[in-house]
Amino acid sequence: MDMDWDFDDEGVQKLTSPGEVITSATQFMRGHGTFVEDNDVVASLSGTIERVNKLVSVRALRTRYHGEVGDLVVGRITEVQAARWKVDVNGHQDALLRLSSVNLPGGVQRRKLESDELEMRKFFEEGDLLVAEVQPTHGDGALNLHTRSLKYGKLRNGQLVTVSPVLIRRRNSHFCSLPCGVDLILGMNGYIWIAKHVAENQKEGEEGFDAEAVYSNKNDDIDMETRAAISRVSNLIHVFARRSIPITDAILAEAYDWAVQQETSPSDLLRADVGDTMVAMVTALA
Amino acid sequence: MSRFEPLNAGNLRSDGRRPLELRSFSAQLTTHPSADGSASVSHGLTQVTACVYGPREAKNRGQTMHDRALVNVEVSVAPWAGEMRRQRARGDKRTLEFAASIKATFEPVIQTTLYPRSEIHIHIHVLQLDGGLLQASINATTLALIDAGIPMLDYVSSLSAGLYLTTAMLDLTSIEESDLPSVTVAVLPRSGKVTLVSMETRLHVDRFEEMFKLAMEGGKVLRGEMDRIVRERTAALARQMEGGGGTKEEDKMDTDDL
Amino acid sequence: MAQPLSKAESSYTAAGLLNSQRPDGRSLLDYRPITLATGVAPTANGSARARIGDTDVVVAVKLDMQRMDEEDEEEGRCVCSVECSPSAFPHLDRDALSDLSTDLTDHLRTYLTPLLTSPQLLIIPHARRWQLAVDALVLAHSGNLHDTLFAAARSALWDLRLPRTRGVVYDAPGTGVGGDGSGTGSVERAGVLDHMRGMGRQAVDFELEDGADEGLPLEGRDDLPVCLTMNLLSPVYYLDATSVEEACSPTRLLLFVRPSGTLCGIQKLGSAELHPSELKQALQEGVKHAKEMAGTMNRRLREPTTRSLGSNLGPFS
Repeated sequence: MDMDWDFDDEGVQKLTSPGEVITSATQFMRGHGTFVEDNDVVASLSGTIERVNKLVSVRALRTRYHGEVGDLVVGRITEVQAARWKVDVNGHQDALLRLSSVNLPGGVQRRKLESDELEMRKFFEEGDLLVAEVQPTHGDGALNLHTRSLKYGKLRNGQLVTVSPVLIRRRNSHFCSLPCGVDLILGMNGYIWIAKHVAENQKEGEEGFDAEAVYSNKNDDIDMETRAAISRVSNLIHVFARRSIPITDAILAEAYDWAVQQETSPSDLLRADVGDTMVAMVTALA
Repeated sequence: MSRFEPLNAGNLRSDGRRPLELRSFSAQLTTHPSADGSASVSHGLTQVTACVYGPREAKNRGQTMHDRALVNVEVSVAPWAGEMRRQRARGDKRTLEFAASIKATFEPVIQTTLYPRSEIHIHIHVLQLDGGLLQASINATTLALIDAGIPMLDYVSSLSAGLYLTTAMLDLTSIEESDLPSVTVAVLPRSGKVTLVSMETRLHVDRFEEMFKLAMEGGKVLRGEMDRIVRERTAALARQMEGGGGTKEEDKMDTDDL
Repeated sequence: MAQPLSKAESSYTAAGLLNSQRPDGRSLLDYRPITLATGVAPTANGSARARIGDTDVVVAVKLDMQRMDEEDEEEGRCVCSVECSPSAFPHLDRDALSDLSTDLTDHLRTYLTPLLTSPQLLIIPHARRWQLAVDALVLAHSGNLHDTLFAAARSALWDLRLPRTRGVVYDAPGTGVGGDGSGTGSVERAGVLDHMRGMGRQAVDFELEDGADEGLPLEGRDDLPVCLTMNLLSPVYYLDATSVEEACSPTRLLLFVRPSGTLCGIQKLGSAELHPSELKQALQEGVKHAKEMAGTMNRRLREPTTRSLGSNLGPFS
């Protein structure tokens, strides 16, 4: 980043709102959240101004999910169509998951058969939750997903929390394990899956791809402590999301420890005063 | 029946305002966290809430357009909002017409071409009504759209103006609206373009220009007020997102991806 | 009512409930934080907003003067409506939404408004009375709509002020003037003989003694029923279900209970069958909880801070 930008004070985030002229269009290129009018780059969103070299863009602080290739998302099936599923990912349109983009039972390499098309609901049906990756899109702008990895697929053993997508930062891995025995999947679209921890060696290996397990709707036995931990993490996420604080595994682990030390019950976090104290403590540490 | 006197001898209106004085204006963003964007606006006793959903998968696929997003507006008025209790049926002609004029106001301002085949749904709730329904609805919708992060060419700010004898006045209450000729104007303050003019009463053509200009000027003042509220909120959000563990490293990564 | 859940989600939630563990960590009988605020709608004679969790309902009560027939003995009349905002139910289409509104209106009409008869609502016997209009608007929904709706309606009625009136009679027998209730104007024109009601001669009109914000509270407002929804998932039951939890209970029992503990209505929702012995136990437990809730609510309403917009009063009990 070069810092010779005339109105960029270092460390201060520059804010803008719709209709405001940001800079001259002769020197800069317009990015997301801007448009050009009469040689000016004008903001179309309220948010922070960002610049990479000559590209100026505005990032809104509350918005639905804009998909990008390679993003990990958590979604919910809304419709089963011919050879594809429609998936709600909190985006501008439902995303598409083609039958050819999922792993089929009987081995990773198996080709899709006619009979598979007739049994689509065996794999995913309306309401099912899944984790998938956004793949290159062509055509009308709807996102395409795939679950062709053993990490992806149907979700079980836990509960869903939804937050604003801007609270999820892009990072190396969106699969996290918290020390409290809970696994997190931080979907870039703001859907977060909280589930019982599955040990690395218990995950289905490449060889023993087990269709039963991958497309199963049955939960494992989950003990009381794990359930309580899942509830607590879920409430913590709600508390952070209500105060627009980005969700990371680090901050959650920190907050979890605090909540346990204070001997609060998971449901105490529903109370505004407990939430405030928790946020004050945890953000002070960060 | 006592005759209503819109302006008294001291040049004051029935609620004590001067002719060009606006009622107290307040606004709040993100009043309904379950919506993608929401805002509540009050002009004096008139209170309107707008919720925005989208751009999202269209509910009715038949209506989607391949080159831009569909904008839907739905309006509901609480039965207790006005002076008399009134229950409006869904699909009441007057309400539909009102919704259509809001839609027409915003369609050219929202950058709908960025979201082909999507739908942007705007729901307006009128909770209290004391004149200025249209202006309050438009101002609330503007703020809700900003809250939802939907790109727009500019703010749309709206204000009503009326005329008593030769004196023009701004921001009419319902009793003034029922007695005086009035016009509601919605402007894009930066360019000075007008996206809506609504007048349902008779008015001498010579007087129109003055009222129209005053309403536009007033609209720009309101824009300043709305912008202040939006900026305060944006700054607060930006601070929270910074303070909450986001490091410079991560920020850099974000911008690089854009 | 909400988005469909996956099978894994509903079985996860149900299994937790059977072990007394809820998705948000509450115990089966805990309520989410409840907020009550009265006086939220200045154009109404009484109003309140209730929130349980994220479920949010506004109710306003308006008074209308109504003429009545000579033979009409009814003291007061009450009309009501419930409107569900599409923003509260983004997954419902128009028809489903209006069905839901109709159902809720029926609940108010069946279990609340018949109790609102009081001699206070009568202005002049056989001639004039107040009509109560109870209108509700559901702004947001995250489960337990009935309890929230009735809490808001009850609080709005608690907030209601009935203006005091006095009867007016004429010194010369003649036809009644106007009758539009526009107080002093008609009184002056008619020439007032007596301000007292029931002075032997029949009052034909009335005037208001109080301004808009004054007046008497509704008699028996402390004794109005609350609604308590019991979600039955045999053998356990739970209160204040979220949308997800509601999807897991095959049967819901709505109990309408006065603070004294009298049961004034029961409604069963859901298609599952219920054994009478289960019902008996559920009733006993439910009435106990409802009584507790009604007591807390009355205490809460008496606090002066409740009558200021949006005051947050924290969770119940």
